[in-house]
Amino acid sequence: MMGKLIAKAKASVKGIHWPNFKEIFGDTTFAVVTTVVLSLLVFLWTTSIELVINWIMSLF
Amino acid sequence: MILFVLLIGYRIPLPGINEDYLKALGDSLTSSGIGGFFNSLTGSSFQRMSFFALSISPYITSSIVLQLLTIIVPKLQEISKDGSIGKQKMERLTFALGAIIAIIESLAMSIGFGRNGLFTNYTWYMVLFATTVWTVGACFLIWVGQTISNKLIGNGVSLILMFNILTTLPGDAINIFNSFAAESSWWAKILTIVVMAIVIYLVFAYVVVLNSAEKKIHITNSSKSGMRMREANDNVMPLKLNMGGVMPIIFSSSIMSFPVLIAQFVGVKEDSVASKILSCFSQGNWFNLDKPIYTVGVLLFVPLTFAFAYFYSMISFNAKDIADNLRKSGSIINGIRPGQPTADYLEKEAKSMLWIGTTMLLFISLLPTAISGLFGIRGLSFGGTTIIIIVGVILEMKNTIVAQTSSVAYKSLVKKKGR
Repeated sequence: MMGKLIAKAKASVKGIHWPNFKEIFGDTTFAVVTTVVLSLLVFLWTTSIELVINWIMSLF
Repeated sequence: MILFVLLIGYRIPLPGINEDYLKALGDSLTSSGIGGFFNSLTGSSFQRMSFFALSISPYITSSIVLQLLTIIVPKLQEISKDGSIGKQKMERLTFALGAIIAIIESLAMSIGFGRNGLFTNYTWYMVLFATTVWTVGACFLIWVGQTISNKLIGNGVSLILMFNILTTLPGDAINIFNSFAAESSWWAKILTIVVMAIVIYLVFAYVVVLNSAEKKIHITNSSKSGMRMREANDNVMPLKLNMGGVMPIIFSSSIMSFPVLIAQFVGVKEDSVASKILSCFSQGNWFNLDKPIYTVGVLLFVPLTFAFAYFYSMISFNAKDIADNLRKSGSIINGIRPGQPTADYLEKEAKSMLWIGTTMLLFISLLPTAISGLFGIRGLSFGGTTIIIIVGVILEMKNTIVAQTSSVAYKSLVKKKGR
């Protein structure tokens, strides 16, 4: 049963084009750097919005 | 820039909200395990009950419903195949259905949570006010998303979804760091940061592989001139490993979190049998060593995801239509006869890819759940689903920018040569 499943999985994997190391490294680095930069910008922006909103709320 | 302006609406609280109840609701959602999922999809606006409390969740629901209806209703099938005009009609239909869902969700939220103490004054006009504000907020976000899609780079709704997720990331990173090294020495803290960075990088790389892997099917395209075959071109038709993207996980997570959310509305007693069964449905309770019995929910989640992946690939990948189109354009898959044999071959290939793709998808989806369960990190929204969405949107954005830059460079080159 297990052997059959492994053989089936091997047959399915055959012919799949996996990205090479250069492609994986390039895309991953781009995705990680973009995520970190954008989330930092979003964090700074939302924190400043919250500070302003809290200040306005404290006036009432 | 537009997206940054939108974030203001995520933070402005609705007037007349009971802060104590809001805090209790946030804690209850976090402990039930669905808080993280909703927070990441709505950019924490759901937990804050701000102007954009629903965010674009009605649009996601309406897209799913319309896609499912397309299989059953022949008229919708006709519209979806009608080129760019059909696409515009489908967009308008998605918007209209999204607006209806937004009204229903806002009304259910304002009555359900309002009755339990969300508003300082629970009156009919407060319910009407909250319903109107949340519905208008959701419709506005959907409109912005569709406008971005039509005029700028990438898919607008996906971009909004990505920004929603990004707002919860810094909090998650701090959460993970505190769970492992809050009271450790400086060296242990630095080591934790380095290990965290490596693990996150590897997870991103895994998602990149999952997104990029494909099976290339070789097609020979021949055109006839009179009685003689003039030329034969070899082309490649790519079949993506993960055809359904993140949709199967979103489907199964939504189905499993639905009873938990309903229980929040009606209020189920903590020690009851229903509460224990519902705890198995919450991803936040899985892989918890103190209560291992709740991990039984994974046994439902895995087959449900496979079923949805199969179902979704059957909707989005119509082997018979592709085989017909290939035959009409005079193309054949090498070694396969046109017509029904081609359709059978494509279906067989798609099914074999589905098993591997969904297994890989399940692994990345359950990995963060397992880590947060085993190490006791609560309220984590940084799941496999969110990483798949982030990587997918960023890579799509990158490809669009590269394509547009190449197009501009080509046009300027043609212009120069013309002079």
